[in-house]
Amino acid sequence: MVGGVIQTQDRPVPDHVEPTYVVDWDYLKDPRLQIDPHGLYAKWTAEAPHEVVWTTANGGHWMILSNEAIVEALQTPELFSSKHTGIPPRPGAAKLIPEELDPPEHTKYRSQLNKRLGPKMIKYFDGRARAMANELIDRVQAAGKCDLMQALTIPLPCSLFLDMVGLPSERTEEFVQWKDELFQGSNNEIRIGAQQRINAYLEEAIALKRKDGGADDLLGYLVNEGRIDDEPITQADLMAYAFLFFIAGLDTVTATMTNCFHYIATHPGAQDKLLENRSFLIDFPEEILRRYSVVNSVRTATRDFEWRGVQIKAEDQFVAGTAFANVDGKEFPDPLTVDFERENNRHIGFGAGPHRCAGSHLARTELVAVMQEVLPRLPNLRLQPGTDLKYYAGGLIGLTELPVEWDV
Amino acid sequence: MELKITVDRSKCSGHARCAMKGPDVYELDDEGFCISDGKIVTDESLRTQVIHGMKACPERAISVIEA
Ligand code: HEM
Ligand code: SF4
Repeated sequence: MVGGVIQTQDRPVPDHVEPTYVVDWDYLKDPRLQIDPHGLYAKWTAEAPHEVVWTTANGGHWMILSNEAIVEALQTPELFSSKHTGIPPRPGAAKLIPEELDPPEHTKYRSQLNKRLGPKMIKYFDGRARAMANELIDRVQAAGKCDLMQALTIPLPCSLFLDMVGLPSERTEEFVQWKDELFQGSNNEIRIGAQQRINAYLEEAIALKRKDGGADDLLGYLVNEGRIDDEPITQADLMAYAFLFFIAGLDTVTATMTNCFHYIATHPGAQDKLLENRSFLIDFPEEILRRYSVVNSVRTATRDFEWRGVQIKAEDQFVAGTAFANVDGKEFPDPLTVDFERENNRHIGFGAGPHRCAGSHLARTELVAVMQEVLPRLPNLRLQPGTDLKYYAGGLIGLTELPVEWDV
Repeated sequence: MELKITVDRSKCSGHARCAMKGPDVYELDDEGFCISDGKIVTDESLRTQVIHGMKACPERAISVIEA
Protein backbone atom coordinates (compact mmCIF):
# COMPACT_ATOMS: atom_id res chain seq x y z
CA MET A 1 0.00 0.00 0.00
CA VAL A 2 1.44 3.33 -1.02
CA GLY A 3 0.33 6.60 0.56
CA GLY A 4 -3.12 6.30 2.12
CA VAL A 5 -5.78 3.95 3.36
CA ILE A 6 -6.82 0.94 1.37
CA GLN A 7 -10.56 1.46 1.29
CA THR A 8 -11.21 5.04 0.21
CA GLN A 9 -14.26 4.02 -1.81
CA ASP A 10 -17.23 1.78 -1.13
CA ARG A 11 -15.78 -1.15 -3.02
CA PRO A 12 -13.11 -3.12 -1.13
CA VAL A 13 -9.94 -4.17 -2.91
CA PRO A 14 -10.84 -7.43 -4.68
CA ASP A 15 -9.19 -10.67 -3.55
CA HIS A 16 -7.19 -11.17 -6.73
CA VAL A 17 -5.15 -7.98 -6.08
CA GLU A 18 -2.00 -8.32 -3.94
CA PRO A 19 -1.82 -5.63 -1.21
CA THR A 20 1.63 -4.41 -2.34
CA TYR A 21 0.07 -3.44 -5.68
CA VAL A 22 -2.54 -1.13 -4.17
CA VAL A 23 -2.41 2.68 -4.34
CA ASP A 24 -5.06 5.39 -3.88
CA TRP A 25 -4.12 7.59 -6.84
CA ASP A 26 -7.06 9.35 -8.47
CA TYR A 27 -6.34 10.24 -12.10
CA LEU A 28 -9.76 11.89 -12.47
CA LYS A 29 -10.18 13.99 -9.33
CA ASP A 30 -6.79 14.68 -7.69
CA PRO A 31 -6.78 18.48 -7.22
CA ARG A 32 -3.15 18.71 -8.37
CA LEU A 33 -4.31 17.75 -11.85
CA GLN A 34 -5.64 21.27 -12.39
CA ILE A 35 -2.20 22.79 -12.00
CA ASP A 36 0.20 20.31 -13.59
CA PRO A 37 -1.39 17.05 -14.71
CA HIS A 38 1.63 15.78 -16.64
CA GLY A 39 3.93 16.45 -13.72
CA LEU A 40 1.67 14.30 -11.57
CA TYR A 41 1.57 11.49 -14.16
CA ALA A 42 5.37 11.56 -14.31
CA LYS A 43 5.58 11.45 -10.51
CA TRP A 44 3.20 8.49 -10.26
CA THR A 45 5.00 6.72 -13.07
CA ALA A 46 8.35 7.19 -11.33
CA GLU A 47 7.07 6.23 -7.86
CA ALA A 48 4.89 3.28 -8.80
CA PRO A 49 5.82 0.16 -6.80
CA HIS A 50 5.13 -1.94 -9.94
CA GLU A 51 4.45 -1.10 -13.56
CA VAL A 52 0.83 -2.18 -13.08
CA VAL A 53 -0.94 -1.07 -9.89
CA TRP A 54 -4.47 -1.20 -8.53
CA THR A 55 -5.98 2.07 -7.40
CA THR A 56 -8.88 2.26 -4.97
CA ALA A 57 -10.08 5.51 -6.58
CA ASN A 58 -13.13 5.67 -8.84
CA GLY A 59 -14.54 2.34 -7.71
CA GLY A 60 -11.22 0.52 -8.19
CA HIS A 61 -9.25 -0.12 -11.38
CA TRP A 62 -5.77 -0.90 -12.69
CA MET A 63 -3.32 1.80 -13.73
CA ILE A 64 -0.63 0.87 -16.21
CA LEU A 65 2.47 2.91 -15.48
CA SER A 66 5.20 2.11 -17.97
CA ASN A 67 5.46 3.01 -21.62
CA GLU A 68 6.26 -0.55 -22.64
CA ALA A 69 3.29 -2.06 -20.80
CA ILE A 70 0.87 0.60 -22.06
CA VAL A 71 1.94 0.03 -25.67
CA GLU A 72 1.54 -3.72 -25.18
CA ALA A 73 -1.97 -3.30 -23.77
CA LEU A 74 -3.02 -1.03 -26.63
CA GLN A 75 -1.58 -3.51 -29.12
CA THR A 76 -3.40 -6.48 -27.60
CA PRO A 77 -7.16 -5.95 -28.07
CA GLU A 78 -7.83 -9.70 -27.56
CA LEU A 79 -7.17 -9.13 -23.85
CA PHE A 80 -7.66 -5.37 -23.51
CA SER A 81 -11.03 -4.49 -25.01
CA SER A 82 -12.13 -0.99 -26.00
CA LYS A 83 -15.77 -1.74 -25.23
CA HIS A 84 -15.98 0.93 -22.53
CA THR A 85 -14.31 4.31 -22.87
CA GLY A 86 -15.11 5.39 -19.32
CA ILE A 87 -14.30 4.32 -15.76
CA PRO A 88 -16.71 3.14 -14.51
CA PRO A 89 -18.52 2.14 -17.74
CA ARG A 90 -21.46 4.30 -18.82
CA PRO A 91 -24.33 1.81 -18.95
CA GLY A 92 -26.67 1.93 -21.92
CA ALA A 93 -24.75 4.57 -23.90
CA ALA A 94 -24.70 4.11 -27.69
CA LYS A 95 -21.49 2.55 -29.04
CA LEU A 96 -18.90 4.91 -30.42
CA ILE A 97 -17.77 3.70 -33.86
CA PRO A 98 -14.99 2.59 -34.30
CA GLU A 99 -13.64 3.67 -30.92
CA GLU A 100 -15.60 1.16 -28.81
CA LEU A 101 -15.40 -1.81 -31.18
CA ASP A 102 -12.79 -4.56 -31.03
CA PRO A 103 -11.24 -6.44 -33.96
CA PRO A 104 -12.45 -8.10 -36.15
CA GLU A 105 -15.58 -5.88 -36.06
CA HIS A 106 -13.40 -2.81 -35.57
CA THR A 107 -11.29 -3.52 -38.65
CA LYS A 108 -14.24 -3.28 -41.03
CA TYR A 109 -15.32 0.10 -39.74
CA ARG A 110 -11.83 1.44 -39.37
CA SER A 111 -10.65 0.62 -42.89
CA GLN A 112 -13.41 2.83 -44.27
CA LEU A 113 -11.84 5.80 -42.53
CA ASN A 114 -8.25 5.11 -43.47
CA LYS A 115 -9.14 5.46 -47.13
CA ARG A 116 -10.08 9.11 -46.70
CA LEU A 117 -7.82 10.13 -43.82
CA GLY A 118 -4.47 8.82 -45.06
CA PRO A 119 -1.52 11.19 -45.38
CA LYS A 120 -2.06 11.82 -49.09
CA MET A 121 -5.70 12.84 -48.73
CA ILE A 122 -4.77 15.55 -46.33
CA LYS A 123 -3.27 18.09 -48.73
CA TYR A 124 -6.63 19.79 -49.11
CA PHE A 125 -6.94 20.42 -45.38
CA ASP A 126 -3.55 22.08 -45.29
CA GLY A 127 -4.80 24.93 -47.50
CA ARG A 128 -8.08 25.19 -45.62
CA ALA A 129 -6.40 25.31 -42.22
CA ARG A 130 -4.07 28.10 -43.38
CA ALA A 131 -6.92 30.19 -44.77
CA MET A 132 -9.03 29.72 -41.65
CA ALA A 133 -6.14 30.53 -39.31
CA ASN A 134 -5.51 33.79 -41.15
CA GLU A 135 -9.17 34.77 -41.11
CA LEU A 136 -9.38 34.18 -37.38
CA ILE A 137 -6.18 36.08 -36.63
CA ASP A 138 -7.36 39.03 -38.80
CA ARG A 139 -10.10 39.59 -36.24
CA VAL A 140 -7.79 39.97 -33.25
CA GLN A 141 -4.37 40.97 -34.53
CA ALA A 142 -4.73 44.74 -34.07
CA ALA A 143 -5.95 44.37 -30.48
CA GLY A 144 -2.60 43.02 -29.36
CA LYS A 145 -4.20 40.53 -26.98
CA CYS A 146 -6.89 37.85 -26.78
CA ASP A 147 -7.81 34.54 -25.25
CA LEU A 148 -6.19 32.44 -27.95
CA MET A 149 -8.55 29.54 -27.27
CA GLN A 150 -11.69 31.57 -28.00
CA ALA A 151 -10.03 33.37 -30.89
CA LEU A 152 -8.30 30.50 -32.63
CA THR A 153 -7.81 27.07 -31.14
CA ILE A 154 -11.50 26.38 -30.47
CA PRO A 155 -13.11 27.72 -33.67
CA LEU A 156 -10.47 26.44 -36.08
CA PRO A 157 -10.91 22.69 -35.52
CA CYS A 158 -14.68 23.24 -35.57
CA SER A 159 -14.57 24.97 -38.95
CA LEU A 160 -12.35 22.27 -40.31
CA PHE A 161 -14.69 19.62 -38.98
CA LEU A 162 -17.66 21.24 -40.69
CA ASP A 163 -15.60 21.34 -43.86
CA MET A 164 -14.73 17.69 -43.50
CA VAL A 165 -18.35 16.66 -43.27
CA GLY A 166 -19.17 19.07 -46.08
CA LEU A 167 -21.20 21.62 -44.10
CA PRO A 168 -20.80 25.39 -44.45
CA SER A 169 -18.28 26.72 -41.95
CA GLU A 170 -20.41 29.86 -41.46
CA ARG A 171 -22.20 27.92 -38.76
CA THR A 172 -19.05 27.47 -36.70
CA GLU A 173 -20.13 29.72 -33.84
CA GLU A 174 -23.40 27.93 -33.32
CA PHE A 175 -21.56 24.66 -33.47
CA VAL A 176 -18.96 25.71 -30.91
CA GLN A 177 -21.78 26.57 -28.53
CA TRP A 178 -23.42 23.16 -28.89
CA LYS A 179 -20.08 21.48 -28.37
CA ASP A 180 -19.54 23.39 -25.13
CA GLU A 181 -23.02 22.54 -23.96
CA LEU A 182 -22.44 18.89 -24.78
CA PHE A 183 -19.12 18.56 -22.94
CA GLN A 184 -19.53 21.11 -20.18
CA GLY A 185 -23.30 21.65 -19.87
CA SER A 186 -24.21 22.26 -16.22
CA ASN A 187 -27.08 19.77 -16.25
CA ASN A 188 -28.29 16.73 -18.13
CA GLU A 189 -31.02 18.62 -19.90
CA ILE A 190 -28.56 21.02 -21.50
CA ARG A 191 -26.29 18.18 -22.52
CA ILE A 192 -29.07 16.10 -24.02
CA GLY A 193 -30.46 19.16 -25.80
CA ALA A 194 -27.04 19.83 -27.32
CA GLN A 195 -26.65 16.22 -28.38
CA GLN A 196 -30.04 16.36 -30.10
CA ARG A 197 -29.16 19.54 -31.98
CA ILE A 198 -25.82 18.09 -33.04
CA ASN A 199 -27.49 14.88 -34.17
CA ALA A 200 -30.13 16.80 -36.12
CA TYR A 201 -27.36 18.73 -37.80
CA LEU A 202 -25.37 15.61 -38.66
CA GLU A 203 -28.54 14.00 -39.97
CA GLU A 204 -29.05 16.99 -42.23
CA ALA A 205 -25.47 16.67 -43.44
CA ILE A 206 -25.94 12.98 -44.24
CA ALA A 207 -29.18 13.69 -46.12
CA LEU A 208 -27.41 16.36 -48.19
CA LYS A 209 -24.67 13.90 -49.10
CA ARG A 210 -27.20 11.29 -50.18
CA LYS A 211 -28.84 13.84 -52.44
CA ASP A 212 -25.74 15.19 -54.14
CA GLY A 213 -24.10 11.77 -54.40
CA GLY A 214 -20.59 13.22 -54.01
CA ALA A 215 -17.80 11.25 -52.34
CA ASP A 216 -15.04 13.86 -52.21
CA ASP A 217 -15.15 14.62 -48.52
CA LEU A 218 -15.03 12.05 -45.74
CA LEU A 219 -18.73 12.05 -44.95
CA GLY A 220 -19.71 11.97 -48.63
CA TYR A 221 -17.44 8.99 -49.09
CA LEU A 222 -18.94 7.08 -46.16
CA VAL A 223 -22.51 7.83 -47.27
CA ASN A 224 -22.16 7.13 -50.97
CA GLU A 225 -19.28 4.70 -51.37
CA GLY A 226 -18.58 3.21 -47.94
CA ARG A 227 -19.22 -0.53 -47.56
CA ILE A 228 -19.46 -2.73 -44.46
CA ASP A 229 -19.82 -6.45 -45.26
CA ASP A 230 -20.47 -5.44 -48.90
CA GLU A 231 -23.51 -3.38 -47.91
CA PRO A 232 -23.87 0.41 -47.85
CA ILE A 233 -23.31 1.80 -44.35
CA THR A 234 -26.57 2.01 -42.39
CA GLN A 235 -27.99 5.34 -41.26
CA ALA A 236 -27.40 4.41 -37.60
CA ASP A 237 -23.74 3.61 -38.25
CA LEU A 238 -23.26 6.81 -40.24
CA MET A 239 -24.61 8.81 -37.33
CA ALA A 240 -22.31 6.98 -34.92
CA TYR A 241 -19.30 7.66 -37.14
CA ALA A 242 -20.12 11.34 -37.53
CA PHE A 243 -20.70 11.73 -33.83
CA LEU A 244 -17.34 10.15 -33.04
CA PHE A 245 -15.46 12.51 -35.38
CA PHE A 246 -17.12 15.24 -33.46
CA ILE A 247 -15.97 13.85 -30.11
CA ALA A 248 -12.54 12.73 -31.26
CA GLY A 249 -11.48 15.49 -33.58
CA LEU A 250 -12.42 18.75 -31.86
CA ASP A 251 -11.25 19.02 -28.26
CA THR A 252 -8.15 16.92 -28.90
CA VAL A 253 -6.94 19.31 -31.58
CA THR A 254 -7.97 22.35 -29.54
CA ALA A 255 -6.05 21.06 -26.52
CA THR A 256 -2.91 20.18 -28.49
CA MET A 257 -2.85 23.42 -30.45
CA THR A 258 -3.34 25.37 -27.23
CA ASN A 259 -0.45 23.45 -25.66
CA CYS A 260 1.81 24.41 -28.57
CA PHE A 261 1.00 28.11 -28.17
CA HIS A 262 1.23 27.86 -24.40
CA TYR A 263 4.75 26.51 -24.66
CA ILE A 264 5.79 29.25 -27.08
CA ALA A 265 4.20 31.99 -24.97
CA THR A 266 6.11 30.85 -21.89
CA HIS A 267 9.51 30.13 -23.49
CA PRO A 268 11.24 33.20 -24.87
CA GLY A 269 13.24 32.34 -27.97
CA ALA A 270 11.08 29.38 -28.95
CA GLN A 271 9.04 31.40 -31.42
CA ASP A 272 12.09 32.63 -33.36
CA LYS A 273 13.68 29.23 -33.32
CA LEU A 274 10.57 27.68 -34.84
CA LEU A 275 10.24 30.34 -37.52
CA GLU A 276 13.87 30.03 -38.53
CA ASN A 277 13.94 26.31 -39.04
CA ARG A 278 11.21 24.39 -40.79
CA SER A 279 12.37 21.02 -39.56
CA PHE A 280 11.84 22.20 -35.96
CA LEU A 281 8.35 23.21 -36.93
CA ILE A 282 7.62 19.61 -37.89
CA ASP A 283 9.23 18.06 -34.81
CA PHE A 284 7.82 20.64 -32.40
CA PRO A 285 4.17 19.50 -32.35
CA GLU A 286 5.41 15.90 -31.98
CA GLU A 287 7.35 16.81 -28.86
CA ILE A 288 4.37 18.78 -27.52
CA LEU A 289 2.14 15.77 -28.26
CA ARG A 290 4.54 13.74 -26.13
CA ARG A 291 5.19 16.11 -23.23
CA TYR A 292 1.63 17.40 -23.01
CA SER A 293 -0.41 14.42 -24.22
CA VAL A 294 -4.12 14.99 -24.17
CA VAL A 295 -5.70 11.50 -24.03
CA ASN A 296 -5.87 8.81 -21.35
CA SER A 297 -7.60 5.79 -22.82
CA VAL A 298 -9.39 3.04 -20.96
CA ARG A 299 -9.39 -0.70 -21.62
CA THR A 300 -11.42 -3.55 -20.09
CA ALA A 301 -10.20 -7.13 -19.58
CA THR A 302 -11.91 -9.65 -21.88
CA ARG A 303 -11.19 -12.59 -19.58
CA ASP A 304 -9.10 -13.75 -16.61
CA PHE A 305 -5.37 -13.77 -17.35
CA GLU A 306 -1.98 -13.23 -15.77
CA TRP A 307 -0.01 -10.22 -16.92
CA ARG A 308 3.26 -8.67 -15.77
CA GLY A 309 3.05 -10.20 -12.30
CA VAL A 310 -0.61 -9.53 -11.62
CA GLN A 311 -3.76 -11.61 -11.79
CA ILE A 312 -6.39 -9.92 -13.94
CA LYS A 313 -10.11 -10.78 -13.77
CA ALA A 314 -12.55 -10.41 -16.65
CA GLU A 315 -14.16 -6.92 -16.66
CA ASP A 316 -11.33 -5.33 -14.63
CA GLN A 317 -10.69 -1.86 -16.05
CA PHE A 318 -7.37 -0.23 -16.91
CA VAL A 319 -6.17 3.29 -17.54
CA ALA A 320 -3.78 2.84 -20.43
CA GLY A 321 -2.97 6.52 -20.75
CA THR A 322 -0.97 7.99 -23.58
CA ALA A 323 -0.23 10.86 -21.18
CA PHE A 324 1.33 8.38 -18.74
CA ALA A 325 3.27 6.44 -21.37
CA ASN A 326 4.79 9.62 -22.76
CA VAL A 327 6.31 10.85 -19.50
CA ASP A 328 7.90 7.53 -18.52
CA GLY A 329 11.51 8.44 -17.78
CA LYS A 330 12.71 4.95 -18.73
CA GLU A 331 11.57 5.57 -22.29
CA PHE A 332 12.09 9.35 -22.48
CA PRO A 333 15.05 10.61 -20.47
CA ASP A 334 14.23 13.82 -18.61
CA PRO A 335 10.59 13.35 -19.60
CA LEU A 336 9.21 16.75 -18.56
CA THR A 337 11.72 18.72 -20.63
CA VAL A 338 10.63 19.80 -24.09
CA ASP A 339 13.46 19.03 -26.48
CA PHE A 340 12.74 19.89 -30.12
CA GLU A 341 15.58 17.64 -31.16
CA ARG A 342 14.73 14.69 -28.96
CA GLU A 343 16.03 11.53 -30.54
CA ASN A 344 13.95 8.37 -30.63
CA ASN A 345 10.71 10.17 -29.98
CA ARG A 346 8.41 7.19 -30.39
CA HIS A 347 5.64 8.92 -28.45
CA ILE A 348 2.12 7.52 -28.48
CA GLY A 349 0.26 10.84 -28.32
CA PHE A 350 -2.03 9.45 -31.02
CA GLY A 351 -2.36 6.10 -29.29
CA ALA A 352 -0.99 2.74 -30.47
CA GLY A 353 -2.34 -0.50 -31.86
CA PRO A 354 -5.45 -0.84 -33.99
CA HIS A 355 -7.20 2.23 -32.52
CA ARG A 356 -4.30 4.53 -33.31
CA CYS A 357 -5.89 7.90 -34.06
CA ALA A 358 -7.58 7.82 -37.45
CA GLY A 359 -7.27 11.60 -37.66
CA SER A 360 -3.55 11.80 -36.82
CA HIS A 361 -2.47 12.83 -40.30
CA LEU A 362 -5.15 15.48 -40.42
CA ALA A 363 -4.27 16.74 -36.94
CA ARG A 364 -0.55 17.01 -37.77
CA THR A 365 -1.29 18.92 -40.93
CA GLU A 366 -3.52 21.27 -39.00
CA LEU A 367 -0.94 21.89 -36.27
CA VAL A 368 1.98 22.62 -38.57
CA ALA A 369 -0.11 24.81 -40.91
CA VAL A 370 -1.47 26.88 -38.04
CA MET A 371 1.94 27.38 -36.40
CA GLN A 372 3.42 28.46 -39.69
CA GLU A 373 0.69 31.00 -40.45
CA VAL A 374 0.11 32.38 -36.99
CA LEU A 375 3.57 32.66 -35.41
CA PRO A 376 4.85 35.40 -37.77
CA ARG A 377 1.68 37.42 -37.16
CA LEU A 378 1.84 37.50 -33.35
CA PRO A 379 5.41 38.65 -32.64
CA ASN A 380 6.83 38.23 -29.16
CA LEU A 381 3.86 36.13 -28.06
CA ARG A 382 3.57 35.93 -24.27
CA LEU A 383 1.04 35.31 -21.51
CA GLN A 384 -0.93 38.31 -20.26
CA PRO A 385 0.52 39.45 -16.91
CA GLY A 386 -1.10 37.86 -13.89
CA THR A 387 -2.38 34.84 -15.79
CA ASP A 388 -3.05 31.70 -13.73
CA LEU A 389 -3.60 28.77 -16.03
CA LYS A 390 -5.78 25.81 -15.17
CA TYR A 391 -6.23 22.36 -16.65
CA TYR A 392 -9.17 20.03 -16.81
CA ALA A 393 -7.82 16.50 -16.72
CA GLY A 394 -9.41 13.07 -16.99
CA GLY A 395 -9.89 11.05 -20.16
CA LEU A 396 -9.03 14.28 -21.99
CA ILE A 397 -6.52 16.81 -20.73
CA GLY A 398 -6.41 20.46 -21.70
CA LEU A 399 -6.14 24.08 -20.64
CA THR A 400 -9.29 26.07 -19.97
CA GLU A 401 -8.05 29.40 -21.36
CA LEU A 402 -4.91 30.98 -22.80
CA PRO A 403 -4.86 34.77 -22.38
CA VAL A 404 -1.93 36.06 -24.46
CA GLU A 405 -0.57 39.35 -25.80
CA TRP A 406 1.88 40.28 -28.57
CA ASP A 407 3.61 43.30 -30.08
CA VAL A 408 1.57 45.42 -32.48
CA MET B 1 27.19 -0.92 -46.31
CA GLU B 2 23.90 -2.71 -46.58
CA LEU B 3 20.98 -2.19 -44.22
CA LYS B 4 17.97 -4.47 -44.38
CA ILE B 5 14.67 -3.09 -43.11
CA THR B 6 12.02 -5.40 -41.69
CA VAL B 7 8.54 -4.06 -40.91
CA ASP B 8 6.23 -6.23 -38.83
CA ARG B 9 3.01 -5.55 -40.72
CA SER B 10 0.90 -6.93 -37.88
CA LYS B 11 2.26 -4.22 -35.59
CA CYS B 12 2.44 -1.31 -38.02
CA SER B 13 -0.65 0.79 -37.42
CA GLY B 14 0.10 3.59 -39.81
CA HIS B 15 1.56 6.36 -37.65
CA ALA B 16 3.75 7.52 -40.55
CA ARG B 17 6.46 8.53 -38.07
CA CYS B 18 9.05 6.43 -39.92
CA ALA B 19 8.47 8.42 -43.09
CA MET B 20 8.62 11.71 -41.19
CA LYS B 21 12.08 10.92 -39.86
CA GLY B 22 13.23 9.00 -42.93
CA PRO B 23 11.41 10.51 -45.92
CA ASP B 24 13.86 9.13 -48.49
CA VAL B 25 13.82 5.64 -47.02
CA TYR B 26 10.37 4.73 -45.74
CA GLU B 27 7.42 4.62 -48.11
CA LEU B 28 3.78 4.64 -47.09
CA ASP B 29 0.70 3.36 -48.83
CA ASP B 30 -2.32 5.62 -49.30
CA GLU B 31 -3.60 4.83 -45.83
CA GLY B 32 -0.32 5.68 -44.15
CA PHE B 33 1.00 2.15 -43.53
CA CYS B 34 4.66 1.46 -44.14
CA ILE B 35 5.40 -0.60 -47.25
CA SER B 36 9.17 -0.78 -46.94
CA ASP B 37 9.32 -4.29 -45.48
CA GLY B 38 12.32 -6.08 -46.97
CA LYS B 39 13.89 -2.93 -48.38
CA ILE B 40 17.67 -2.93 -48.59
CA VAL B 41 19.45 0.40 -48.32
CA THR B 42 22.98 0.64 -49.65
CA ASP B 43 23.43 4.40 -49.78
CA GLU B 44 25.59 5.37 -46.78
CA SER B 45 24.13 8.88 -46.72
CA LEU B 46 20.72 7.43 -45.85
CA ARG B 47 21.94 5.57 -42.79
CA THR B 48 20.72 8.19 -40.29
CA GLN B 49 17.31 8.27 -41.93
CA VAL B 50 17.05 4.48 -41.69
CA ILE B 51 17.94 4.51 -38.01
CA HIS B 52 15.96 7.57 -36.98
CA GLY B 53 12.89 6.28 -38.79
CA MET B 54 13.18 2.94 -37.03
CA LYS B 55 13.55 4.59 -33.63
CA ALA B 56 10.57 6.90 -34.14
CA CYS B 57 8.11 4.04 -34.65
CA PRO B 58 5.70 4.03 -31.67
CA GLU B 59 4.65 0.44 -32.38
CA ARG B 60 8.23 -0.87 -32.42
CA ALA B 61 7.34 -2.43 -35.76
CA ILE B 62 10.63 -1.76 -37.55
CA SER B 63 13.89 -3.60 -37.19
CA VAL B 64 17.08 -3.03 -39.13
CA ILE B 65 19.96 -5.43 -39.63
CA GLU B 66 23.36 -4.81 -41.08
CA ALA B 67 23.33 -7.23 -44.00
C1 HEM C 1 -3.97 16.42 -31.85
C2 HEM C 1 -5.13 15.91 -32.04
C3 HEM C 1 -5.54 14.50 -31.72
C4 HEM C 1 -5.08 13.65 -30.75
C5 HEM C 1 -3.98 13.91 -29.72
C6 HEM C 1 -5.81 12.41 -30.90
C7 HEM C 1 -5.61 11.30 -30.10
C8 HEM C 1 -6.25 10.09 -30.28
C9 HEM C 1 -5.99 8.90 -29.51
C10 HEM C 1 -4.96 8.77 -28.39
C11 HEM C 1 -6.80 7.92 -29.97
C12 HEM C 1 -6.84 6.47 -29.50
C13 HEM C 1 -7.84 6.26 -28.41
C14 HEM C 1 -7.80 4.84 -27.88
O1 HEM C 1 -6.92 4.04 -28.22
O2 HEM C 1 -8.69 4.51 -27.09
C15 HEM C 1 -7.61 8.49 -31.03
C16 HEM C 1 -8.57 7.82 -31.74
C17 HEM C 1 -9.32 8.39 -32.76
N1 HEM C 1 -9.20 9.66 -33.28
FE1 HEM C 1 -7.90 11.07 -32.66
N2 HEM C 1 -6.71 12.53 -31.92
C18 HEM C 1 -6.57 13.78 -32.47
C19 HEM C 1 -7.27 14.31 -33.55
C20 HEM C 1 -8.22 13.65 -34.28
C21 HEM C 1 -8.92 14.20 -35.42
C22 HEM C 1 -8.68 15.57 -36.04
C23 HEM C 1 -9.81 13.28 -35.83
C24 HEM C 1 -10.76 13.50 -36.96
C25 HEM C 1 -11.15 12.74 -37.82
C26 HEM C 1 -9.65 12.11 -34.95
C27 HEM C 1 -10.35 10.94 -35.06
C28 HEM C 1 -10.13 9.82 -34.30
C29 HEM C 1 -10.89 8.59 -34.46
C30 HEM C 1 -11.99 8.33 -35.46
C31 HEM C 1 -10.40 7.70 -33.48
C32 HEM C 1 -10.86 6.27 -33.21
C33 HEM C 1 -10.03 5.34 -34.00
C34 HEM C 1 -10.34 3.89 -33.72
O3 HEM C 1 -11.00 3.59 -32.73
O4 HEM C 1 -9.92 3.07 -34.54
N3 HEM C 1 -8.68 12.38 -34.03
N4 HEM C 1 -7.25 9.82 -31.20
S1 SF4 D 1 6.11 4.49 -37.84
FE1 SF4 D 1 5.83 2.32 -37.45
S2 SF4 D 1 3.65 2.07 -37.25
FE2 SF4 D 1 4.02 4.00 -38.22
S3 SF4 D 1 3.89 3.63 -40.42
FE3 SF4 D 1 6.00 3.50 -39.83
S4 SF4 D 1 6.27 1.36 -39.38
FE4 SF4 D 1 4.11 1.69 -39.38
